[in-house]
Amino acid sequence: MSIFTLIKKDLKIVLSDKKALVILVAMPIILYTILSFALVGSFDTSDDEVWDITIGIVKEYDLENLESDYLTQEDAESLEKILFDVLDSEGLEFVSYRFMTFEEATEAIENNNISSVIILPENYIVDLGLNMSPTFRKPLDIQVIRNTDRQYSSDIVENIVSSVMENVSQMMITNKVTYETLNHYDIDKNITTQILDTMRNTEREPVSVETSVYNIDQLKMVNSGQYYSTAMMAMFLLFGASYGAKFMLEEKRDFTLQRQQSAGIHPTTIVLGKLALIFIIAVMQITLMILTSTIGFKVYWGEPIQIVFVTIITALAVTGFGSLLAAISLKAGNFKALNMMESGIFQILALFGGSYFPLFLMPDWFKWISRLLLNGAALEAYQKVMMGAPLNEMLPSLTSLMLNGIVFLTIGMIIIQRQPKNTLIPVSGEEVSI
Amino acid sequence: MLKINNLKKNYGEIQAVKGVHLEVNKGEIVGLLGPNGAGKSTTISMISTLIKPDAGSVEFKNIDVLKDPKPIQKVLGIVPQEIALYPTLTGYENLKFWGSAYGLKGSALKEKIEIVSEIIGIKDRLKDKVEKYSGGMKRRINIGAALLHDPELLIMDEPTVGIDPQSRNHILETIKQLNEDGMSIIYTSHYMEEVEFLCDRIYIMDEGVVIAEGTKESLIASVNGEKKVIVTYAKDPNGIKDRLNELAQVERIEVEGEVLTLYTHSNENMMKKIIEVSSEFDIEMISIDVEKPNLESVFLHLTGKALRD
Repeated sequence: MSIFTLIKKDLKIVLSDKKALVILVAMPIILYTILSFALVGSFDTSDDEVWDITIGIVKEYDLENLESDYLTQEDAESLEKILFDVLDSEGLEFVSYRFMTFEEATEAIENNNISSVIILPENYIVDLGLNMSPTFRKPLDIQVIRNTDRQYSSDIVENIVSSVMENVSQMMITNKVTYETLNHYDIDKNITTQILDTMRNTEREPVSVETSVYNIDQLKMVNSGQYYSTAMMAMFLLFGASYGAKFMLEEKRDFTLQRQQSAGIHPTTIVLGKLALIFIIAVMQITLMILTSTIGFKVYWGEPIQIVFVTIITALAVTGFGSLLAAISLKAGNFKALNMMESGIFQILALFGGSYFPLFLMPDWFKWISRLLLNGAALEAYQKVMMGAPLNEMLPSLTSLMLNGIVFLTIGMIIIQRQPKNTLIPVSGEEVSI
Repeated sequence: MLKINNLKKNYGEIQAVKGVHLEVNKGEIVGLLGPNGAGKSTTISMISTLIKPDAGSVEFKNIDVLKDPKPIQKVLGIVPQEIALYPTLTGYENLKFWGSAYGLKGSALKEKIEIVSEIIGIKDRLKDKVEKYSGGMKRRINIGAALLHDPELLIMDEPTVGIDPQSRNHILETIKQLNEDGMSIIYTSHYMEEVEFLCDRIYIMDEGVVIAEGTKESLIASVNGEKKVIVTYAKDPNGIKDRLNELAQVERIEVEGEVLTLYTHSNENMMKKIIEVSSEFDIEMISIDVEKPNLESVFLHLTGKALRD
């Protein structure tokens, strides 16, 4: 008998099991609908917020009265322009800024009128100029005050500032190295002058930040509907894996597993069939959640190719988890272990995986734990896809998913292989566990 | 056809099967009779390659089943005690799956489903889900799933547990018919009437060992079985007891309340004699019943306990 006949039969059973369909498919959709409406306030984020960012800029320096012996007024103005040129640039039309005093800025943050505050310190221009010279190096601190109600736009502002500073820093290093090189070798004066002119011109060119603030044109932030569609899906994937494991134990209890074996179906075929079933259930759950949330609630899930890629990785990880659950339940010989896991451990996993509370509201250590968990990693991976993040940003969660899958599958298979001998079937004279 | 020698199986400290010898010839129905826990199911699980024995051998057509299970698996049909079916699938889907499990496909499979559903008498209910079937119908389709590939050897483990008399009769008649068509059958049960009705030879098992083996007649003869005549009177029959004791054929008599039980080895018509004696005493006789020796008596004789204890 081919493995496909086994899978076909199992799928028929799953699709005829109304209770299972309610738990695996309907429940996550119902829950995410309720939660996304109930907790919409926690997000307070929409595309509008991200596309209309206002920054309060506090200038603690006085450009007219700079205490510097070597900076001309013209130099000072051009240094000041580095940041503002970026903020005025074409790629960042959705960013506007206002100059404020510190008090005005903090009040505006409290009243949720602006996304963030950038504080340029008293020595900002002088220190920037100092760092531009080849022989000096001085730390430069720019403070960004975040608006906690506007998480995503605050993230963008931080990214812009750090990107600008990174570019400036690179420019400084280039200056320093070039000067030292020119001094070291006896290079023709005309050539030296030409190089220095080119460098000065480069300094005057606006700093480019578009590429540093990743794909900002395509950036989409998750809203409550998006968050809870992934969060509920990630949680119910655990139940999908558990269902697959129960299915195997049910077959053993009802003697259909033994009957298949006595008909000469190899145990490996049976185990692979069950793993394939868990994989298919996971893909089915994900697909249905994507379809219903997209059609019914206009949830944007991201690029189809990325969705397919993440779905395959996630479903494989769930399959690994399912194999571990199947092994545990077969070893226990009853449903108690799985039921206990569903009502206890799964809830803890769901909590730390971000299924109940939005992860961005949680501290960093919590987010790290979440990323290590199968459901947490799945949630993060899908949200990165929704945000149009590049592959390198998805790597931590995808790696976690793959590791979860491999570790669970390995442990599961080891436990299944170590089943007591009296549950084994001799095939070609060997004992094969199931 | 099938030879089992010194088969043993332990589950931890428990010795489930302690050296069973058994033989099945082609075209035979062999009964395994014994109470629950006698080791019948473990023995047939080992024959059907589901459990590996700790010791002993199983040979099918002179092939060592433990070394090469494929030949027996191909021609073996198993009817487990459990309803080993998928309740949420229809009867047809179940038969189709189990037929595929034995390598049938296409029109051959459809044809076999047609034939088997006719044999087991569920043809008109094939489109219904198995969970909607009565207990008897479930038992019948459980048997049908094992017949699709025309097995040479059919192993049936308590196939009539918990069903109505009508379904039981249908199943027993089906088994008889299958055997008449040439199928060899191992039939396990703790219902001695079924084993008596069906089996050519019987193995009686208790506590993991075969305690007796033979035809029904030889087994009964081996324990010198007594016939019981049970008479119920309208009042205390103690007066009649002494008179009946004088009859030469009577072994012994027991009286309990209004019920008198007479034991005899004689094949003579004892009922006639009892009625004649009773009429002398002018005591109204309410009922009279004769119990011939059976496998229950054999089991009782061998183990000191009843089959259904």
